[in-house]
Amino acid sequence: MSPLLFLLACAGEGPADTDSGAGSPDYGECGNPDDSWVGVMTSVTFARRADDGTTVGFDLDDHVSENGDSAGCGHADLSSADGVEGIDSAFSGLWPALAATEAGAVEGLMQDSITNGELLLILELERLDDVADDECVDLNLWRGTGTPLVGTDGVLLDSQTFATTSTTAPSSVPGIAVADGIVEGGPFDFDLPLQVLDVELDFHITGAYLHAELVSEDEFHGYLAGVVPLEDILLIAAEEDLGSTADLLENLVTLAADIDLSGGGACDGLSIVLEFTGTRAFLYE
Amino acid sequence: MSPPLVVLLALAAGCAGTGDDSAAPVASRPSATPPSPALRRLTETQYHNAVVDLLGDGLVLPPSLEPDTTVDGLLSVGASVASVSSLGVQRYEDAAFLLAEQVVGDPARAAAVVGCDLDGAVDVDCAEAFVDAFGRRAFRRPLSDEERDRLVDLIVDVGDDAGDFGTGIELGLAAMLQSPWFLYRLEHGQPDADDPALRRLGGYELATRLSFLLWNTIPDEELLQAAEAGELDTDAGIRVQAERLLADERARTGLRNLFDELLALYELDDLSKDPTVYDHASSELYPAAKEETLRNVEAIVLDEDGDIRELLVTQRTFVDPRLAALYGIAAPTDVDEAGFGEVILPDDGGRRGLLGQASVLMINAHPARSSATRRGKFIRQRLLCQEMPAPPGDVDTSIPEADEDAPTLRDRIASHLEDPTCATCHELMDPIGLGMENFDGIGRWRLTENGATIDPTGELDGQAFSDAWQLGDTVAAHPAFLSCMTTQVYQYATGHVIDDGEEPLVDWLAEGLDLSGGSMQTMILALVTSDGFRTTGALDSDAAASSDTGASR
Repeated sequence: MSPLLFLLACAGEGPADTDSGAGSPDYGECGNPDDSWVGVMTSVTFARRADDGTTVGFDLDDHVSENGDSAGCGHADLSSADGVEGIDSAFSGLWPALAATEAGAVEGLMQDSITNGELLLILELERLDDVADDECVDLNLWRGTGTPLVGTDGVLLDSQTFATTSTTAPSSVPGIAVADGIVEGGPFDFDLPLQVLDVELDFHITGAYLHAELVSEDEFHGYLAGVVPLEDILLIAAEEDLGSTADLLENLVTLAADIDLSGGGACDGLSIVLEFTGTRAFLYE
Repeated sequence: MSPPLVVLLALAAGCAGTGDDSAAPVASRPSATPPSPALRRLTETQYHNAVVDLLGDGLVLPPSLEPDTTVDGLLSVGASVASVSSLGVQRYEDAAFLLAEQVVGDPARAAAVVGCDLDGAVDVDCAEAFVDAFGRRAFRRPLSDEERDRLVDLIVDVGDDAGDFGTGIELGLAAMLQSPWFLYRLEHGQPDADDPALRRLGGYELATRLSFLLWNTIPDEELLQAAEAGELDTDAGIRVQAERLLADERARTGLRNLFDELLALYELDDLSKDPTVYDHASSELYPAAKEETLRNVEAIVLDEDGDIRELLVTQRTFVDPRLAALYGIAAPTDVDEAGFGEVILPDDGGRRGLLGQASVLMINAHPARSSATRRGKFIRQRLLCQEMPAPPGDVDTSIPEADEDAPTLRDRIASHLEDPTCATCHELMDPIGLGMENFDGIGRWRLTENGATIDPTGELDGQAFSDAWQLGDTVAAHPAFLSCMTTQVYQYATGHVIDDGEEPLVDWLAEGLDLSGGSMQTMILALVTSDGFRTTGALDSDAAASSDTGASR
């Protein structure tokens, strides 16, 4: 069993690396399920690498890879700014090159998708008694629907109410902790819908972990890391409108793939980290 | 018999009691001596409502008419003193032809309005029937023979000249729609045989007053028939019709207009907040805020016949998703087609009642910041009917920018209260308005301003309050609140600022409003059967006529 599959099999446990550990108190003692906090992501961007090469993310495959390490598809893992090693974020290395091409429009399209309601990612912390410290909360990541309210600054308004897709269950992680306003949880799978060049694509992100910091009751930010099947990205490359960029994209992602997603020894997954900011919201009852 | 019902009957009958010992004491209804009558021009809203009633829905309405003006904050009172400019006259004429052309150009509408086929030669019988029926509704009274003949002749002559009956009808219709009898409410009445200082309004004049008060439009056929039958000559007859009008859905239109004026909600129509300061301040927010307040009024006054003081303290309100976001609450799931639904504001949210509604909070604030002075003035003037003098023309009313030493508005306006020149007036307003400082310039809740904790405590005429929540209680319990509501409704109904000779009646109506548990419906029923509503003051010509009569004797 590959480390990733092992992780996927252990839903509810804390991420393998990162800033804070997550306990697993008795689910039944987590508090009132009606006490929930909800936020909607108002911006989603691809994580970048800092000048010193550090970045945000998680050790998704529970392995600190070095260059040439076959367990890491030959790619060295990264470190976080606070020294955590093993960070998987292959896409952050590709992004500077892609950003200079037509593919660079994807971030703008993601933002458009947020404001027009096609990409509403809603974070719910159920059984939350205290936004700063709570030993046991349940994390849900919902897909919202509907046309959101957009403020005069072009950003989703805070405190608005969303409906969730009736056909898609949330990605959930029960029984995790909030410490100093920070919550981390995973693994879970979720689909990231993107519309690129008039083609609607769903990136199936697997083995994902989320790190969110609640700055206040009204504001949060963080990042979400997971693995995207190479085939999802190559669907974009197959689009005729991309022209020469298609070849570039295909070559880049194939070379950058750093995760054995299928467990068969092939490097068929690309680790990706999305950074987000968000604001408080509500869910329709 | 429940006390409110006893009071209602007593008020409506103007009697001293009902014989029931449990009945609240109600003094005899005082008489009133209103001022001399004035011409009341239809407000723009009334004009539009009347046009829709007369010609049907779906017309392109005139884009602009002579602008309305306010007196004592009420457009309905301003309509009694406003003159019409030559441009205004032109606009009324253009509007009349715009409407007449649309009617004649639409066969189905023409058939409904005129009542016969407009194709072909002039139909004199049709012209006469049209003038009789349409003129009666538009002028709110039967036409005199002379008026009727003149209009019929106009239609026939023009139709004959053009070889087209429709052309004649179009001109006749336009003539009626720009007639002073349509555009103005003439409420002169007839000299009162028992009191030379009064003129008693006739049935048709009362029908018009009732209809514009309760529906904000022209009377319907049933009301005109009641006037024709003399049923409005008695308290009971007026009461029957007033109750019918109040029970009709159109009473919502009338009530909404009444409170639109009472609370100056019309200011929301042209309001604009700084979008760089307030990200919630979209153009959709202003009508939503107005709708919230008017739905509260409808619910309390019409649906529940509840206590008008509830308007200040109720936690129940009506919001759409945009207002819910502004208020930081979940949007309701059970909503109507406009997206509005009922919600109960949380006990610990600090917001309830009129003083926590975005409409009032936005109107009484600056484009980019709140205003304790404006909010305090709103409470003094609009809710308590207390006069607040305007600042002297040469005084600097600006307040300092926030800094470390003066982060909150309370700190910054301290100078108003320390400078004797300013303090005289500002002491009356600012301490009250500071009680609403937990709401920013568009009504968002906040605990701090520039990092400093807001102090919302204050005092209103000797009653301390801790915040806006308690301020609602304080205003609701203020002895001037019900009196002010009564005064404003009275002025709205009669179209003039109350005269000394009407104060006893208004005081009596206000007392009745209190005794009835704050029922505005009860107060309105008492008002419409009172002399204040049914009479006007004498004309100068009455005295001359009286002396002539005396001389001839």
